Amino acid sequence: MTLETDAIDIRGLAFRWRDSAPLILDLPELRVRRGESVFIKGASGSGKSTLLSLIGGVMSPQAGDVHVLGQRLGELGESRRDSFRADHIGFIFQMFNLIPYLPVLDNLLLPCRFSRRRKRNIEMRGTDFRAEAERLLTHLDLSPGLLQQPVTELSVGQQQRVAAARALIGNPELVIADEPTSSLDADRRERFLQLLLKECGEQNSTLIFVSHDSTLEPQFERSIELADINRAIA
Amino acid sequence: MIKKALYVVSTMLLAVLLVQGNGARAGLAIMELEWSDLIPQGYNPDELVEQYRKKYNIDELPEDDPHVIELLQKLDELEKAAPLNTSLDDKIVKLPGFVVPLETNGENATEFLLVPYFGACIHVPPPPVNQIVYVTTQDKKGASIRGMFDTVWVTGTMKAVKLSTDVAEAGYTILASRVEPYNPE
Amino acid sequence: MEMYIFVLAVKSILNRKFTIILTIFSIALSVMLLLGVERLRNDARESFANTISGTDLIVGARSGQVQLLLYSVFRIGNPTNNVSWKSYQNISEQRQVAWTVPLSLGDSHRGFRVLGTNQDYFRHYRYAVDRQLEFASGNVFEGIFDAVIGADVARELGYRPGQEIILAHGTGEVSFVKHTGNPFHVVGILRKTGTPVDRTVHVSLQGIEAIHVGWENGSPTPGRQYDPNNPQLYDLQPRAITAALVGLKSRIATFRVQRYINDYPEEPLLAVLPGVALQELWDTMAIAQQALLAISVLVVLVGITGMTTAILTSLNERRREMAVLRSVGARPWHIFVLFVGEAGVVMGIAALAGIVSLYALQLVARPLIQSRLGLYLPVHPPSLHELILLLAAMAAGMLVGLVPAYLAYRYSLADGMTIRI
Repeated sequence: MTLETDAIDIRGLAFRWRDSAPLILDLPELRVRRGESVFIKGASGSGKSTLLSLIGGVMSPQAGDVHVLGQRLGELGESRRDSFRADHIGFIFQMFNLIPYLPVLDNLLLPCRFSRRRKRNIEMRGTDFRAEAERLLTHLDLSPGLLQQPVTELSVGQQQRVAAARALIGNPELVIADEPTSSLDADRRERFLQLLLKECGEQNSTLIFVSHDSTLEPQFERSIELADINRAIA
Repeated sequence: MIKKALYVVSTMLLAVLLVQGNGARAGLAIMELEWSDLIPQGYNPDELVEQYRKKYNIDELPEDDPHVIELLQKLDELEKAAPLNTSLDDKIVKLPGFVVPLETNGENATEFLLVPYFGACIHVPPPPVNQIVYVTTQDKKGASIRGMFDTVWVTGTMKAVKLSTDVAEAGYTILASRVEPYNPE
Repeated sequence: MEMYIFVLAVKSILNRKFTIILTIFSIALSVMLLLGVERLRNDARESFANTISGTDLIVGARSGQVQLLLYSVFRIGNPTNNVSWKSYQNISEQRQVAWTVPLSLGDSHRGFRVLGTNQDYFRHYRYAVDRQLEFASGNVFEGIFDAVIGADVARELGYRPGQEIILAHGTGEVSFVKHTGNPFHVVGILRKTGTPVDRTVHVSLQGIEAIHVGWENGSPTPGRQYDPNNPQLYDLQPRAITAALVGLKSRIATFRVQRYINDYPEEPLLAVLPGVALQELWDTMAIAQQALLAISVLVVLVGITGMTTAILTSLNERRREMAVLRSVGARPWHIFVLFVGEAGVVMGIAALAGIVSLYALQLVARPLIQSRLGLYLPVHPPSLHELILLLAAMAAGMLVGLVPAYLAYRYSLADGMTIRI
C-alpha cells in the first residue's frame, strides 16, 4: 500500500438483499482520496447505510470490487475482513454508540482491545491508553474527568463526542460516520462537525460522513448526492 | 526352499503355542455347576419320600399327622448327616443362584449365602445344607447386589469341608473371584 | 485480547446484578436439592449398614422383618410383644448357636432409650466392618444399678462417670412416671460409633427388673419398690426380654436355626437375617429416593430454563450493544463467547452456592436427623457421585446456554453494524 492509493475505490458495485429482490445499489464508480472529507447525501432508504456496510466489509456485494486503502475486500475471508475493519476503520453511529455497562474510558478504548494495530499505534507514539484518551477528549472539547463516569450520566452531545473519540483512537485511516448529528440539537451539530473535522485533519484520516441534513454540507471538501451516482434509485 | 522351511517352522510354533494355551486353560478350567451337582451320589431323600408316599399316601394327609411328622423328622436326620460332594473341594467353579446378603451396605455385599430358590413356602423345610453355599468375596469392596432376590453367577474356589458333626454344620463355601449378574434368558 | 471478552461478560453481568442474582439463587437451590438427595441416599444407606455387623440372626416376637430390625437395632418404633426367657434360653442352647445377647427395651432417660442387656453385649456387638465397642472412660456395668452410656448421651447431657441418673418409664421424650426410687449411676462412657449406640443408656437386665418391682399391674404400687438394702427379697431373673442377637458357629446353619425359631411351637417368634432385613429396608427406601432424585433433576432443569429465559430476554436489548462491539472489531464468535461465558459464570457461581448451602443445611439438620432417625450423617466433602451430578448440571446449563449464544452470533452476523432502532 503506497501513499498514492485511494482511501476508497469502488468499481461496478451491485448489491441486492436477496436474489429475487431489486437492486439497492448500482454504483459504477466511487473514489475517495486519502485524507478527504466527503459528505454523502441521501434520503432514507436510498441505500446510504448499505453502502457504509459494504465499505466496512460487513457485507459483500454480488458484483463489483470494493477497495479500501488499497485492499480489495472481496479477497479477504470474513474473519480477515473483521480484522481489517478493526485495524483501519472507525465508526460513529446516530445514537446508542456506547456500551452502557462500561465507563467512558473503557468505551473509548474498545477498538484497542480488538485491534493490535491500533494498540501499537498508541504505543509507538510513546504514550499510554489513558493519556491518549484524555488527549482526544480534550480535542473534542470534553473534560478528561469524564473518563471515569458511567455512560448513562452523559448528555447525548457528550456521548456522540465520546463516540467520535473512540472512532479516532489508534489512528484508523478511515472514519465512517452514519448520521452522527441527527440526534443532536441543531445548534450543537455545527460544533460537533467542526471538532470532528479538525481531529480527522490532524490525524490525516479520511472521513465519510452520511447525512440528510444539508446545512452541514458546506463544511466538507466534497459532497456526493447518492442518487446521482447510484443507478439503482428508481 | 527357505520360504518353505520358514513356513513349516512358523506353523509348528503356532501349533505349540496353541496346545500350550489350551493346556494352560485346561489347568484353569472353570467348572460350571448346577445345583444338583452339589448333591453327592447316593443321597436320595426323594426315595424316602416315595417310600412314605406309597406306604401312607402322605400327600393326602394333614400336616400334623404322625406319619408326616415322622417323615419330616427322618428327612431332617438325613440332612443332618450333611453329605457333601467332596470331589468339588478346591475346584474353581461357577454357580448361579439367589443372593441372601449377610454383610452388606446396600450396594455391595462382602458375605452372602447363595441358594437355589428364594422365599419358599413355610410347608417345605429350608434348603438342605448341601444346597446352600456361603460366599465371601475376594474383593474387599464386595459384590454389587441389585436388591432383594438378586440372581448372580459366582465364580471362585469352592471348598466342600465336612467337619466333625459336634462343632458346626459342614458345608460348601466359595471364595469368589467374580460375581456377575445373572439374567434369565 | 480474547481475555477481554470475559472482562466484558463479567461487567455485563454486574450491570444486570439483580436479575442474575435471582437466577443464580434459583439454580443454587436446585443444585442443593439435587446434591442433597444424592447425599442422603448414599449416607443413609451407609449409616444403616454400619450400624450392625457380625450378627447372624435377630430374634423377637413375631412381627414384621423390618420392624424387628428397626426397634431392636435402630431404636426406632416399638415392639409388639416379648420373648419369654425360657424361649431365649432354649435358643441359646441350640447346637449351632455360638453366642446370644438379650435385649430389653421400654424405658428411657431424658429422651434417650434405655437398653437392658448383659455384659455379652459389649463383647459381641459389632458395627461398621467388625468394629468393637470401646470405652472412652470407665467400664462395663457390674452392679445392678450401673449404667453405661453412649457418647452422645454423655456429650449432650454433660455426664461423666459417677453421674446419678433417673430412668423414666416408656420411650417417649417426655414421661410422667419416673423410677425415682431407684437411681442409676454412670460407670462407663462408650466411644463414639456413629450408630444408635451413641444415643443409648445401657443397664443390666437385673436393673430393669429391679425398677419394675411392684409394677405387676402396669403402674407402680405405692410402697412396693426395690429396696437395695434387702436384695434377698427379690428375684431379679428376667422373665421376658424384647429381642435377642444371635451368633452362629457356621453361617450356613443360618436357615435351619431361623426356621427352628420361626417354627418354635411354644411362642410366636420371628428370626431375621440382618442383611436381608436391611436389604428390604433399602429396597423400600430406594423407590422413594429415586422419585426424589427424578424430581430434583427436573427442578434443576427448571432453574436452567429460567436462566436461559433471562438471557434470551436480554438478547433483544443487547443487539445494539452487539452492533457496537462488531463495529469496534469484535468477531461474531466473540459475541458467541460473550454469551456462553455469561452462562458459564452463572452456572459456576450457582454450583458453588449450591454446595455451600448444602453444607449449611446439613450442619443445621444433622442433629435433628440423628435424634429422630438414629442416622448419623457425617459432613464430608463431595463424593464422586455428587461431583458427577454437579458437573452434569453445569454441563446442562452450558449446553442450554448455547442457544442464546448461537442466536446472538446469528444476530450479530445479520445485523452487522447497523443498529436497528
